Amino acid sequence: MNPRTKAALIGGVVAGLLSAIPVVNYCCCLWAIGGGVLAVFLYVKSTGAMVTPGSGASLGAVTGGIAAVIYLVISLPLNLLIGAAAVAGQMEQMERAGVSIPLSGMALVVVFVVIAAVCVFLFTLLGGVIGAPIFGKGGGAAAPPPPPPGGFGGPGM
Amino acid sequence: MPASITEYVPQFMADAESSRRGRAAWLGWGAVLAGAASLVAMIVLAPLMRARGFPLLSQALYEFFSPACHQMPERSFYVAGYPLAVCARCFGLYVGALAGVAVYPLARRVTRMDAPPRAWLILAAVPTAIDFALGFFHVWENTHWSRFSTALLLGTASAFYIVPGLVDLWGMGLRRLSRQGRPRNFPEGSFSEGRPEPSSSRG
Repeated sequence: MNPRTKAALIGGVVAGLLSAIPVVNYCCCLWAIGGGVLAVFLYVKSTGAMVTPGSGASLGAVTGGIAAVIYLVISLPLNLLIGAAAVAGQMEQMERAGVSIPLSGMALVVVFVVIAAVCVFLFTLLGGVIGAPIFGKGGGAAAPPPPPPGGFGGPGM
Repeated sequence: MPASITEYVPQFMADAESSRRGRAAWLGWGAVLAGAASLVAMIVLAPLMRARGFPLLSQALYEFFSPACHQMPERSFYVAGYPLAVCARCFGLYVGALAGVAVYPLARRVTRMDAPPRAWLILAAVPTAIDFALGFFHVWENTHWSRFSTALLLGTASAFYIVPGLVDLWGMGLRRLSRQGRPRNFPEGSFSEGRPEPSSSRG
C-alpha cells in the first residue's frame, strides 16, 4: 500500500470511528480535524516529503471520504437501533403540529446520518489543510545524500 | 523589411498567466468565504426555522452539525427560544473563521500558497485551552462569552491556515479541468500553462 493511501486510511479510521461513538464524540470537531492532521503527519513521517497546503487539502479530502464512509457504517446501525425511537417521537410531534413528512422514520434516520457524514468529510478535509503547515515541512524520513565517490575531497586513504 | 503579423510572438505570456492565476485565487477565496458564511448561516437558521414552523429542515441542520459538536443546550446561545446548532465555543470558531476569511486579503495576498508559521496557530489556541482547562478542573466556571471569545480568536487564526490550502485546492481543480479540456496532441504546459513542466514531476 502506498504511503498516501495508508496515511489516509489510518486518519480516516480515527476520524470516522471517534466521531461516531456516542459520548466520545463530545469533543466537538476535534476528532474529524485530528484525523486529517494525523493523515498529513503520518504521510510526512513515512515519506519525508514536503506537503503544500493544496496537497494537504487533497490528502484531507481522501481521508475525509474514508472517515465519512466509516462514520456511515458505524452510525447508521447505531442510529437505527438507538435513535429510531427518538426520531419516531419527533415525527409524531411534527405530525401533531400539522407538518407533513414525506419520508418514513427509517428513511429519515438514513438521510440524517448521510447529512452528518458530509460534515465529517468537511472537517477532516479542513484537518488536512491545517495539518500541512504544521507537519508538512518534510525532512522526517528523508534519506541523507549519498557520500561523494572515493578519490574526491579530503586526504583519502 | 518588417515581419508579417503572423510571425508575431506574444511577449506577455507570464503576465497573462499570473493574471489568470490571480483570478483563480480570488475565485477560490470567494468560494471559501461563501462556504464559511453558509456554515454560520446554517447554525443560526436551525433555531429560526424551528421557531417559524419548519421542523424538518431545522432538524436536518441540527443533524448536519451533530458529529462536529455536542450541541448541549445549556452550553449554547439561544435564538428565537431555541439553541443554536452548535455550542457557544464552536459558534465562536465558526464566526471567527468567517471573520478571518473576510479580512484575509487585507492581511495577505490571496495568491500566496504558504501558510504563516505554525507557532501563531498554537499561540491562538492557548486562550481556548486555558478557558477549557480552568472549567474542566473547576478552577473557574467559564461562561458562554468566555468560550465564545476565546474560540473567536482561534477561529480567526485558523482562517489564515485554511484559506491558502483551499485556494490551492481550488487552483488544482481548475488546472485539472483545463488539462482535461486541452487537445491531446498539444504538449502539456506549452501554451496555457505559461511555462513547461519538467516531465519528471508528473506522477
